[in-house]
Amino acid sequence: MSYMADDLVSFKSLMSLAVEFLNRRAKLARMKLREHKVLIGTIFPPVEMIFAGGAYPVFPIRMERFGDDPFLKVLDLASSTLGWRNVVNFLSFARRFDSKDIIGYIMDNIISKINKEYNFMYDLAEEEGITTDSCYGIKAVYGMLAHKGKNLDGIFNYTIRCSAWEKMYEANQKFTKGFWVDVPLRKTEKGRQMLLDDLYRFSEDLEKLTGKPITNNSLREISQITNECKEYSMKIIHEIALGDTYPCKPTTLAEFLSLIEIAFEDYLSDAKLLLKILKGMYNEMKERINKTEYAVDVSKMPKVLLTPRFGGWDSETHNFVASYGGRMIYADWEIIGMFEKIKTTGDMFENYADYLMETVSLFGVNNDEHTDRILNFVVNNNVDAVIYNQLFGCHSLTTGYPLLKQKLLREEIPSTMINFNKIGENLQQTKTRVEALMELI
Amino acid sequence: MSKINEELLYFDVGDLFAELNEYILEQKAEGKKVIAFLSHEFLPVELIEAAGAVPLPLIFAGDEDKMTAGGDLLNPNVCSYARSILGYFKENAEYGNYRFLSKVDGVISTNFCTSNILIPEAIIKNFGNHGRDEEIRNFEFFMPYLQRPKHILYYKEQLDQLYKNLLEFTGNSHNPQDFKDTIVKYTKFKQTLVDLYKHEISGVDQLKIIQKALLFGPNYIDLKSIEDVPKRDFKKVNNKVILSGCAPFIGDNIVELIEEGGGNVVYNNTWIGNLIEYSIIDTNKINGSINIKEQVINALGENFRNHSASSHCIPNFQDYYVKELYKISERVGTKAVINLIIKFCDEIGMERQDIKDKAADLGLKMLNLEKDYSQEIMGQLRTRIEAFIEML
Repeated sequence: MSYMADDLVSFKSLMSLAVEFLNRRAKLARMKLREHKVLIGTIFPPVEMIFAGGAYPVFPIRMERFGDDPFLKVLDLASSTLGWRNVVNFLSFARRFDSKDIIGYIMDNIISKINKEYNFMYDLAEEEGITTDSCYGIKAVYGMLAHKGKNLDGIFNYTIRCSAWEKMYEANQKFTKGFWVDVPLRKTEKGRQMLLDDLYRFSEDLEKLTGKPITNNSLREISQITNECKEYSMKIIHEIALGDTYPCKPTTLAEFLSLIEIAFEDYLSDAKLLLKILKGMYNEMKERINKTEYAVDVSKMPKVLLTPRFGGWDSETHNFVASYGGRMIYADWEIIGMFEKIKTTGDMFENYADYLMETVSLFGVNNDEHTDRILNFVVNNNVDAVIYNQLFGCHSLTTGYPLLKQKLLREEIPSTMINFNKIGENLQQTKTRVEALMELI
Repeated sequence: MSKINEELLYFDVGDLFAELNEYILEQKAEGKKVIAFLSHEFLPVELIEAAGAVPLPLIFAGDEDKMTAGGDLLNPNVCSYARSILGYFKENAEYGNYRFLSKVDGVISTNFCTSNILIPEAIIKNFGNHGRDEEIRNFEFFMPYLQRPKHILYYKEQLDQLYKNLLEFTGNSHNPQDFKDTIVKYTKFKQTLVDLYKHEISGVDQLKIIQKALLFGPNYIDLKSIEDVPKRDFKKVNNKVILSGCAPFIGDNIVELIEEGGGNVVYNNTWIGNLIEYSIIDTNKINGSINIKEQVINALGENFRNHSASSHCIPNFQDYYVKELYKISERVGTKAVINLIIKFCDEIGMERQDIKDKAADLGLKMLNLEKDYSQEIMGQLRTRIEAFIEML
């Protein structure tokens, strides 16, 4: 049982984020079918080119139907007609009379609904013939595109260090057109020129679809917004999640962090809206921290980082950590460089190329660099322990634990490694490992 | 300089390693640096030798122990070949069975696939200081994935940088004439290997010749004696098969299994086979003695541009790969393809079903044969191969 429901009824920003995420399907369908908007699939946060070109980034799973809870529909309707403050009042009021805790049930299941869809995509990918040896992330993305890729006008594929990822994108072309951008692993003169050339091509491809050219101004404008989104997310991580007082229970905050990360995969197809939500969320959190009825003292609770998670992870892990008195920190996008700011003066194409090269570089060209990023985050933020999430089938990004463990040991920071294959699997082993880790702290 | 060796075949892998130990020790005694790398068609071995170093391709298959040892250092899901290479280093560190590995001075990490980045790094991290005066040096050589004009320029920049770094490491300077001689020598050598399939030699023997030739190079191996290698008996085995996909590394008995199962491997379309063709520098395009290095790098750039069937390249590898197989099938007269997939290989493994479907569309009969280096699966592999051959 999540602790989320108790807090959620007075958190309109989280309600907004959840509904925008879970109920976007209808909006995306309307954009596509009635308004003839151009929808471009994205998996990682760099989406600025897509917005600047007049198209809309879509993390493909958001085209799915997340169950049929009538309450979600009512909530969505209420949010649009009554305004969020009234909805929150309504929910607070309704909950007093609801012995079945329907609000708690719905909110408690937001993450599980997402997880269920992810698992469905995983199964679908296997049915579609992807090798069973692939990692969860690859199967999930493949499944998403197999299921709804036809609704997209294409997908933005940019290269990272994982060769399986590149091959997955290649295989996905049977579901939707791929727009390819080759990002060099190291910054070199010719590498930068190559990347710029790919970005210009991508820009031209988008213009053919939308009729709107990408200008220095359009790219600058969206970059200013996404930079601000990153800034607020960083504030939530550093000022709230890593602080001594929480505005809610620790597991709820962990769920906040994970939802924020998912939202960054396409900025909810509306970067201004995401910025509004993040600003609101940050301000609400700050307000609650200052109110004794909401503030939770977590200063004695050890901070545990779970990473890498973007290829798939089990949200049950933060409940295990909480049950042993700890609090979970999620900060993948920061660790792998996705929250780096885009420079907004000068030539924006060049700035964007530099940003992409920076993210790929901070992703960690090799395990040494990748584990250094984790270590630096841990040391700089006084994190007490690390859970390394090793994906079954991962040949690239989660191969660094032996190296990370050595580095953490030198800093006397305990760690453990958990194996992840699919959401809901292997939980007993995860629990045992988390328990052993928490005993060490 | 080592003596030229006319023995093209080797009796067993142990003999080959003993010979390699001796060869590398000799090279080291001459003061040369040994540069190890995971082999693929876009890393020109010629540049290593032209820089005055000894190229050492890590083209060894493993076994259960080596795979486990490698898995402990990275992750058990890394491909069996890559894990095995780490296992060799670990065994060398512990028991000294592969002494030549303790003589490695540098490794080249490339992004052909992720393992090509992670294995060199893990070698350095875990064995880089082991009994050595100096830590093993890492040379990064990162390639583009696409083959557009600007990507070729990037590839050429990387080649140039690699060569400069190697020269700096060996302390040698660029000598245009020696450089040209090395290129010409390798071109001739590789072309002979590429044409090997035209000789009526069994697939097993062809593979042994190629493995040994790649391991030792043209300074040590004399390919003139190919004519002396016994011919295959077509009456005994007449089910022609093309081997493609992942490479049959030294110690992998996959070709033996195929030929024992009644198949006849007439063409080997792997890195340890005819994909060498894409690393051959067209010496007809190298004229005079001015700007030789630039001409060679341009020729290598052309190779990269023209090899869309490489498993490294995107976005249409599947299509090019299958079309390439079709052309080969027309050339050698068989529709049967065994697509070898080393367990957890991204490059060949990820798209196996699409490749098989597209191959079928062109009338090719493809067996996707996945394996690691454990003995347990031998019986199952044998059965699958025999069933496939019987269907032909």
